[in-house]
Amino acid sequence: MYLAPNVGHRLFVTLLLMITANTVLAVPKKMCVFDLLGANGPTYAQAKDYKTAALAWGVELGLKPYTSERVAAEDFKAGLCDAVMFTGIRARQFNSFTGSLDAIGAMPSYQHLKSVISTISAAKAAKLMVNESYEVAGVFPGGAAFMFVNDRNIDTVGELAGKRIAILDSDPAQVEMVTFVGASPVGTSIANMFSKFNNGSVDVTYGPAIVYEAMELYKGLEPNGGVIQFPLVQLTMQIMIRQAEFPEGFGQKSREFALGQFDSGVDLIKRYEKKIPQKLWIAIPEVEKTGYLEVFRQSRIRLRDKGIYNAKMLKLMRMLRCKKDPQQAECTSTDKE
Amino acid sequence: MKPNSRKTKKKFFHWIVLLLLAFILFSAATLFAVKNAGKLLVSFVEDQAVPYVLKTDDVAMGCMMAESLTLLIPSLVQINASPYKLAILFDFLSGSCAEFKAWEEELRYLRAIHNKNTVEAQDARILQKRYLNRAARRQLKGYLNFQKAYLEFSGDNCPVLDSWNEEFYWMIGLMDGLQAVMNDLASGGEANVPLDISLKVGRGARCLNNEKWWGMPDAIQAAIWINFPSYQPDGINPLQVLDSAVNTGLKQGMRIAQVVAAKIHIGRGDAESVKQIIRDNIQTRLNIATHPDFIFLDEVASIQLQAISDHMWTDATGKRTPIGAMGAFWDDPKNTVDTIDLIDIL
Repeated sequence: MYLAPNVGHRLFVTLLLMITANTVLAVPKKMCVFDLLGANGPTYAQAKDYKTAALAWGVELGLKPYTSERVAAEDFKAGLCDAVMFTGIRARQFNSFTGSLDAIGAMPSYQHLKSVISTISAAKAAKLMVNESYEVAGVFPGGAAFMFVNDRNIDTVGELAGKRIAILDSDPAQVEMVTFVGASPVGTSIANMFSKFNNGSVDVTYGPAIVYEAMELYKGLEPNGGVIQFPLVQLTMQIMIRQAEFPEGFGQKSREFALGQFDSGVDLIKRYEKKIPQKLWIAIPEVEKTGYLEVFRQSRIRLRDKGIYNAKMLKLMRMLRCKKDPQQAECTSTDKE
Repeated sequence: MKPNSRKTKKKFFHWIVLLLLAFILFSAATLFAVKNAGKLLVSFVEDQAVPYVLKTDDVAMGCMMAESLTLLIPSLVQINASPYKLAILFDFLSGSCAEFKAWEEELRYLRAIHNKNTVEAQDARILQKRYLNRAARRQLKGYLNFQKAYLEFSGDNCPVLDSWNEEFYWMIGLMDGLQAVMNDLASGGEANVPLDISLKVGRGARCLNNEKWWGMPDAIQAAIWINFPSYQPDGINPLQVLDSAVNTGLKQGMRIAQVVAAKIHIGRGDAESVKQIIRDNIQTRLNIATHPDFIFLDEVASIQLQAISDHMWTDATGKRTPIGAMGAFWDDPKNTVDTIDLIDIL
């Protein structure tokens, strides 16, 4: 069959484009993924979807599971991984701006959290995502953390005084808050903070709703305990990359991808929250909410002044809270964040 | 009345009575048969058919059988049977069938990543999650049937398990629960499997004799302790318990505990341990015969370990385990072969 030269050339280029349309050039990089269940867990499953998306942005990610967040962060720091996925609390050492998203009492709802993440995921905020050689490449919702108490009467800040509260030693913010309210901090790890509640070693623990069922917290809540219906912190999972190791623009595309996953992530979180029986929720009286909010606000200010929380993030979150509810006292306070 | 017509009437009356009696007896017999058919059928399958199938090696056929019959099993309740134990097994098998399909999609995902084909990779992940969701739903049904069959199960106490069958279905029920949780977590939680099943299963495994059940009870407990370290007893090293459990099974020609161990090491990211388990599996087949009464279960273990090997090969090379290479890996040191330098001959 005779083909004119230019037709043959065009046909060849068209065929080549068809073959390569779905294939991309990709540089191989390694990502450490923290998940309590390792490669069998839900965060790792999420990372597999992220890996697929990253391929389209020019990176082939090799995933390595870690059941210890501390080891994942250390391996990342040591250069054994080019990227890492871990909690926002752990991310604080690399970027205090996004690491302060988990500030105590700062985000009362998922709508607030989405607004903040949308704001910081925009291209305008890109330079805030970079600190030294590290770049935050995505923020995912991890669920609101609620306080689980073994006595329903603990529904005011004052009643926390003298109670034994489980805290993560690795988070100075928790030590600060617990000490401020006059409670007794009991150092724990993620691995044992729930079993200590169930066996009565602590009176208060906290975590996202998923732990209610997964860690059988209903046992520790018997006979008279409850779950305080007030988000203590908004937990996040964050992806941190070594900026120079990734193609230009990777971080921005990645942040936009993470934002796109926000709603489905919150849907799953709310499903776990619905598993907590209604009778166990402890509604905080409106008048007491003000007390809680003020204690949290003062804690955040102290932690900001100690250099633990980032002032810019606290200001951003305050501006958002006041935009959604301008009548709050903090909006006109002289020491507002 | 004439004597002949009286005799005829008497005969007619006797025949009617006989027919009525026959009808009553027949109805009673039918009712008895229907009422007890369910029990007889369940008893036959539990006591005869299942042990028979456990001696066979065609897992693919077993998979199809389970997918065909699982919907029918609960209907036996309508003829006075208690099919919950059978349902535990059939739900587990049909869930495993969905898992096999999910693994194939995982391999397609890995191939697509290897070939840098993002659309194919995304499509494979979508389908993989659908199959895992299906597996989770089926295995959750199996676990719920387990709870119906063993009403005393709360995860805290052990019931009296007074026969081999009772123990066997208890073990399968625990595996239903564990697999339901894992598959649901891997597929995004749509099946809504209660997450407290894991800890209950860990406690339920204590109710079985470890030696008798090929190391599986200890393997299950070790798996729970590794995932929930705060629940592990003081002084216990769960990885050592896991190793010991695997050896207990191997000595008896049963390798199913190796699958639990391999999945735990995959979760920990310890690829070398996973490779060693696969190598041991192949090696022991050369000198330890499979237990003849449980060939099916050992074959299930082989298929699951082959799936794990395929995953590792595809991740590294883009293709699954080559024929005859089960137990070998792409990065194994090559055996050196003596050669002659041809320079003196050329």
